[in-house]
Amino acid sequence: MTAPAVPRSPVTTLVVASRYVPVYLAIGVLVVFASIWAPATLSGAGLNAIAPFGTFLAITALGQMLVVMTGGIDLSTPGTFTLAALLMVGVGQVSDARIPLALATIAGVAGLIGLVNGLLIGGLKLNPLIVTLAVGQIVNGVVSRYYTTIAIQSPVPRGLSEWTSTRFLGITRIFWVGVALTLVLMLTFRYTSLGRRFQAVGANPVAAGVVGLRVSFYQTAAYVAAALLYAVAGVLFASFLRMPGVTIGAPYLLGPIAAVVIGGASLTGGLASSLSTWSAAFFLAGLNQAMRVMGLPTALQFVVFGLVIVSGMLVSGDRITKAVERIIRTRRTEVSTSNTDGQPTEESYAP
Amino acid sequence: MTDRSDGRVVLELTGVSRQFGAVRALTDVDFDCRAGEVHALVGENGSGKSTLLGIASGFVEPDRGSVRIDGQPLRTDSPALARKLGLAMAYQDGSAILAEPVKNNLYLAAPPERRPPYWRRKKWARQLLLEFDLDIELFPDVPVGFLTFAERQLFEVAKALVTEPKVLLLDEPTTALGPHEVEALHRTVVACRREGMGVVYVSHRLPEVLEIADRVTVLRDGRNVGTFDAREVSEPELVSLIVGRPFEAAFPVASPRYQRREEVLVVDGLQGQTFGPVSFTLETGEIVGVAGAEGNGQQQLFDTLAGRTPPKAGRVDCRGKDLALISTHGTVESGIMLLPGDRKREALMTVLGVRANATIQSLRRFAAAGVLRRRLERRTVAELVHRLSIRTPSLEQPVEFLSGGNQQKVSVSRTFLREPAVILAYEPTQGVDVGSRFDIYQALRMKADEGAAVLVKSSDPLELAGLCDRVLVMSRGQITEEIPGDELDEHRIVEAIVRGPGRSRSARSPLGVAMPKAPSQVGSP
Repeated sequence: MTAPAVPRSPVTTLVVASRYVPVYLAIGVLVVFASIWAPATLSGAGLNAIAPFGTFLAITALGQMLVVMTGGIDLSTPGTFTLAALLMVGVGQVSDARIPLALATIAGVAGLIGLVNGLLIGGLKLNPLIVTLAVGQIVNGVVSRYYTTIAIQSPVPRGLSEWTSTRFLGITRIFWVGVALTLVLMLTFRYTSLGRRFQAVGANPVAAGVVGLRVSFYQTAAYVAAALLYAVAGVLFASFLRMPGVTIGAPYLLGPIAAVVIGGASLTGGLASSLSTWSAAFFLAGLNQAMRVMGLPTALQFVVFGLVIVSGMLVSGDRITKAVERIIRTRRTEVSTSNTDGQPTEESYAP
Repeated sequence: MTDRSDGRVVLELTGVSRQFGAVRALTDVDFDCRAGEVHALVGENGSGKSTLLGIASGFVEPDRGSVRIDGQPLRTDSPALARKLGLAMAYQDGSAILAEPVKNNLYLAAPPERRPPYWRRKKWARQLLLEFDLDIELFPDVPVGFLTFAERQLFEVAKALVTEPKVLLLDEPTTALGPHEVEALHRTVVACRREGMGVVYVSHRLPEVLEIADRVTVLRDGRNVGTFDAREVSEPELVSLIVGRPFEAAFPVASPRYQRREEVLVVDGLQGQTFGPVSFTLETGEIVGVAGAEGNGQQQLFDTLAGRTPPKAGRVDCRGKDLALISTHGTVESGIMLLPGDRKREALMTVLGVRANATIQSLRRFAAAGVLRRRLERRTVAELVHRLSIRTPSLEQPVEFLSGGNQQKVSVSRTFLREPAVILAYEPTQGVDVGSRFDIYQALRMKADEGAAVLVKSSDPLELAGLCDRVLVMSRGQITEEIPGDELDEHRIVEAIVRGPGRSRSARSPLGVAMPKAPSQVGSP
């Protein structure tokens, strides 16, 4: 029983981790930038303003991340988000006793939306872009109709808004819900078979099928889980606003996708990091806040936002990993010409 | 007959060489084809036939040497130029646009000056198909994707003929054809020859080749080992020229045989889209090879056994249990593991690390209530990496950055974390360096010695002869022959492959078309 040493290599760790680096660099740059030109962003009040918005974005982005990990994309986010918020008002009827009922209804409806998406995409292999766009459209229709049935200016149940506005360790509870969800996803992917299988299906659905995984199940589950996360964000948003409107979901179409991309996820599926996605969401929220503090016109804010996403694509995870690997390989080839002690040389790598 | 040899040379390759990475596909090959002759090109899989055709048709640029089509040099590697100079090729895997109807495909294939007015193309297409006399009744409006494989293959020839070429290249034109269709094809080829076309006919099936060809050129290891008059060369002579590749790999000793021989997999009358019915039995502890020219249903047989494509008919028993074969999940659970040939696409999650790839099929082993014991997982994989000599800098190294051989070992390592009853290895050493091959052979042998039955599809007869305990030969979707262990050598396998479904020359019809053999009795005890 000779237990061979587990091969470890800091270089590999570097290559694997490199895809998630840009978001942390971006946060660093933003902090430096803000401390010079918009110091109010980093004040206590500024950070407290960022916390809830960063969290709404982060939770929707985590949902989007699950979908992106299967190689898909979800454009039904705003619809599900808004519907959840409105259901909290409509079913809650300003009564604390009805909160559990409202939550159950929201979970059911969101689960159903996700299931429709999932079955059409994971089961029937339809194009995710078009399916989720269409389903999102249907949900939007339902939202508009449902909004007319709710009493105007009616708030969410008091108990809910009070719970979320209470601070824990000096920060809004909304923030901690986001942190908890991020941790749950992180641990799921790191320590459970479910997470591992999910990752494998995303990385290569064909191979996952060959090895006997139930590919359609995992793909469908991604959309269901995503819809539930959007609903959580919607409920938190509703309790934050107290009186949610019908257009609250609009920023959550592109925002979560941007966070996922900047967070270093592979758009072809498989690889993503919950922590990086969460950080990317806060980066975007921080950027938004900094631009407001600086008093940039809204039009310009949109332009900057767009530019950031494009730059995110330019330094996207896949490109970074490939580049880092290439640099290391050329380095190593040079060294290994004089040193062949079983270390991988150029021939160990596929061309 | 001899007057044909006075025909002018319509295709001439001089001193052509081509290297792909470390593999020399062609070395200094001369080849020519005259007007009004059929020049056959034969050789094993990987002997350089495809590369030669690729160079002649302008798809592949030779490292050295020149190509002349109808006397004009093919200066750059341009398929369009080759076509303009009068060369047409019928591809083995088809080049038609599947979603477009027959008439449009023909229309697109025709050079502009030969095209009819667009609105008349249907009538024109029907007329042409009649003229070519390929014995296919195609409605010009049917999308090519709806045709059977045999029809598609014949249509491929029609598509080539519509350019009225001076030289026609046929790459394995009969893999999907039945005897009747081969006859039709040969009739058309004879007609082309009569009209003064030069035909290059690439095939594995020597009886067909000897029937139709005027001259035969044998390629071996990318070298031209001789060009012969088809009337003066016999089948056995050709076989001995085709084989004889230098020995490049060692094989694990077929060790102390597994003692308790029992049937693990019983395949009875299994039939799929492009194969069958086939029947055979696998026993514990044996490695069984599947030989045959490419495209004779091997891939589909493997996919069906793995549960990837449902069968049309037949039944499969694994360890005495009847398999539904409708999901890979079901077959894997029943103990059948497939090692696919296209590793990057079908076997590995290339962006994930060695560890995640190795254990994906056996997570249950490492999990308690769904939570992974990562330390145990790491230790187990580290042991496997050591045992199978997988060369990787780290267990977390994404497998996309490993060499082909090490990738295949990662794929093989999965079978060591389960106890499969049957391992289906499709081209286990394709794209694998010589050094890693032995490790892979050894790994498969180890699994067999542990009691698994291993079915290996390989296009390399030498590999099959060295690795397997017996070999099944497939042709046109049928198992045409079983070669028992004591007769197993490269020569014997090649002979079985090139002979095709026909047993001997006397068993063939006057046109030289092999008679179909009754579905084989192979496998029944």
